Amino acid sequence: MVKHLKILIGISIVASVLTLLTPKLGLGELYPFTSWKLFTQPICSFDTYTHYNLYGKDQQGAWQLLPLRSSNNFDYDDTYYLFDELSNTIAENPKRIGHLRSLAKAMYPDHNDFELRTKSYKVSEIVRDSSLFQEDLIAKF
Amino acid sequence: MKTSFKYKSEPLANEKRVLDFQIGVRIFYAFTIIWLGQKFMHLHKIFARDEDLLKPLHWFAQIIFSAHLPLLFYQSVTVLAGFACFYALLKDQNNIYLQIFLVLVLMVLNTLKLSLGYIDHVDHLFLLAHFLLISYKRATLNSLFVKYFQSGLLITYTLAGFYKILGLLYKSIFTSEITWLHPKALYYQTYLFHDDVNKTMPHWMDVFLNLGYLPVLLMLMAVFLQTIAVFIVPQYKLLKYYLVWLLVFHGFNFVFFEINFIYAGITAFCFLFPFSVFIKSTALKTA
Repeated sequence: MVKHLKILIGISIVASVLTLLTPKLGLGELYPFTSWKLFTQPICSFDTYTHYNLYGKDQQGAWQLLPLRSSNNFDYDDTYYLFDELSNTIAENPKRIGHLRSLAKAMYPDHNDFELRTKSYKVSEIVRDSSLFQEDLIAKF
Repeated sequence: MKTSFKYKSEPLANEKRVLDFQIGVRIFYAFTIIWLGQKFMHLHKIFARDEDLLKPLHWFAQIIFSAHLPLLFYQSVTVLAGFACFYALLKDQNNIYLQIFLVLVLMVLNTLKLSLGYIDHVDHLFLLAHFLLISYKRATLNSLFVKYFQSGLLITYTLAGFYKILGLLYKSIFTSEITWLHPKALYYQTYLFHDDVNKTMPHWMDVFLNLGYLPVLLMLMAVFLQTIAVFIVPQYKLLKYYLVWLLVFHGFNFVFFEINFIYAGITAFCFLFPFSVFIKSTALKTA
């Protein structure tokens, strides 16, 4: 029993180390093992950080930031990762604007007009002054 | 490793460790039934989506999705996996074929949950524990098996800590990037994770993370404790304190970074908690 366990542990350790390389070869991680290389450095070490935001036009015609939230067919994690994935690939696949709209409508059924914007900033600057960021319109839907 | 296990553990600690494992593994299977139930309830939501939204990036997920199997198939194997758990829970002994089946079903369901398949490191400790349980046999269970099992799980924390130390050294020597040694690193990271989900960092967090070099000391302590994980295993008395630290560590990630490591925390609890403290010492000798 211990012998078999040692073999399984050996497989998991070897796969964990190998899975550092396989994504670079385009093979992805050796699922279900992982490299466990999490947060080896803070994300803020990058000079400028950019992420996507969803905006919607309210009843008075003003644009407001719409935080991601769960809906009927998507829990919060689904929404978060799907929104990120769709936003990242919208340039290469314009059809995904439709999916992004479906996702936005699922979260906010009362809204009809949406915008996808990027927010870019240096963390060291924005923590001193919250207005120090750049916002760019990516898509209207 | 085998030698140190034999010399550093006392006989009573070995008995307690075996008893802890016997109870822990049952709780783990009970928890797995809940996990399966959650996934079962989620299945119809995945299949209600537009097919274009189910384009996984990960190779395993691609294989699963390319099979175009109906919802009923996934529901059926989930129920069967639930029965496999019940069997292991009630019989308190593993059938190797059922356990392999269970591991495969868990891998598939985990993939379906992450239908885009590009975050690979979710629920891995949970999956790893089930993978290692393939070798578990109730009849021949001994403390050496439990120690190796615990090592197999905790080596993941050691690897994670090891990578952080390597990263820290490399970045400090060869680049000018912010590392975990920067007094604001934890503050910046926490700000980013909150802003990413359109939340504002609470005031108390803001104050706490700006207490000079305290966040750096905490980070270094966390990296140290993460790295020594596997070396704690032979010390039975220290394991419970290490479990407390692990739960605090995962709790910190949840509160500060909004990252949910609840399944890792529950897995660690099942296999490190000293359940034998609730059993009278006379019962221990017959366990």
